[in-house]
Amino acid sequence: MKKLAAGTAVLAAAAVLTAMPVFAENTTSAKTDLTLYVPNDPVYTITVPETVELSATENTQVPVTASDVKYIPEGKKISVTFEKGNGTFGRLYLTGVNEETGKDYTLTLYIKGTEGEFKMGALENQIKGMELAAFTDNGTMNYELRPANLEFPDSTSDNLKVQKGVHYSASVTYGIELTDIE
Amino acid sequence: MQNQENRKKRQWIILAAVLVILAAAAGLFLTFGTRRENPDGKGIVLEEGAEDWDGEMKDMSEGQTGIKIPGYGEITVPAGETTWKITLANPEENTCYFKYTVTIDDSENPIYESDLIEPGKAVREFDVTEPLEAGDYEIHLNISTYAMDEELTPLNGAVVKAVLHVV
Repeated sequence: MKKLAAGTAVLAAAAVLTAMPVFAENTTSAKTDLTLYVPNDPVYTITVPETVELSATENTQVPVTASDVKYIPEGKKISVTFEKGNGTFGRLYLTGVNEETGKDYTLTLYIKGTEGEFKMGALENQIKGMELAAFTDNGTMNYELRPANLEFPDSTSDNLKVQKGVHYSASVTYGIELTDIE
Repeated sequence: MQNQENRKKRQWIILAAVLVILAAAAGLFLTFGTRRENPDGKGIVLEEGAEDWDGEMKDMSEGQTGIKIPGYGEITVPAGETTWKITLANPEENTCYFKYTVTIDDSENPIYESDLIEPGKAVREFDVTEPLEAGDYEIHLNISTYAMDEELTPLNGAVVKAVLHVV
């Protein structure tokens, strides 16, 4: 038993001694850790209007600006789209109340983006995803809004004409992403 | 005599009940009646983890006023980890609060929601509700904006989309 214990101790000592020189040789070497970290920071800024005062008598230009554009990959563009309006199903229309009578009104809007054709805001399938502006560098582009009363000047429908004494409002959610240049 | 005592006892009970109801009503008013509600019903809750942020970005918008929305190229986060380092910023030129809600692909369930972020501040890292497996996804940074007034009036918002590499 004693012989077995002594033999084990000798083997363990031998194992330690054979390993030691390897570590000993490294004690004088220097080490440099190389790291590369690219932070997930913004690479461009899009400015959209906080409020837009719409004209009841003509189309309204709405500016969208790209700035601080640091790096856009080749073949890509910054695309700003109509994501949704605050109407039902994401439709785009104005709502307002006549303060004197308490009656609610809506006013349908038309919207035109880079395709150059007005689409009706009540048809959400036609306007969702519509590109309003596109950029490959810093710059400003306008999209257009047009109240429905200009399309239907003779209409008697409440939703197609501007009611006096009603303060209309709406909001827009924009989609912003890098997409392929077609 | 007995009737008079009973009547007095009833009056005391009614008085005590009225006092209890008044105290409860006062408590409810102090708790809920004076609170300003934010869209989540939590009052104005500013993001505690937000740091100062200038984004090393010069204002090149030539003075155009409006809401400045930060855009992203491709974003990379580690697979299987719940802490993501993505800068969720509200540029300092803005005059509104930002609230970020992060979703992946077509899911409507947010994996992260910030509190209100003031202009000039940013969340630099945050914890998501569940880690993702390695692969490519589309990340949606839904930005709700609110006027810095008593009512936290909602303003125009944005959904910033980017390719999310999980490695």
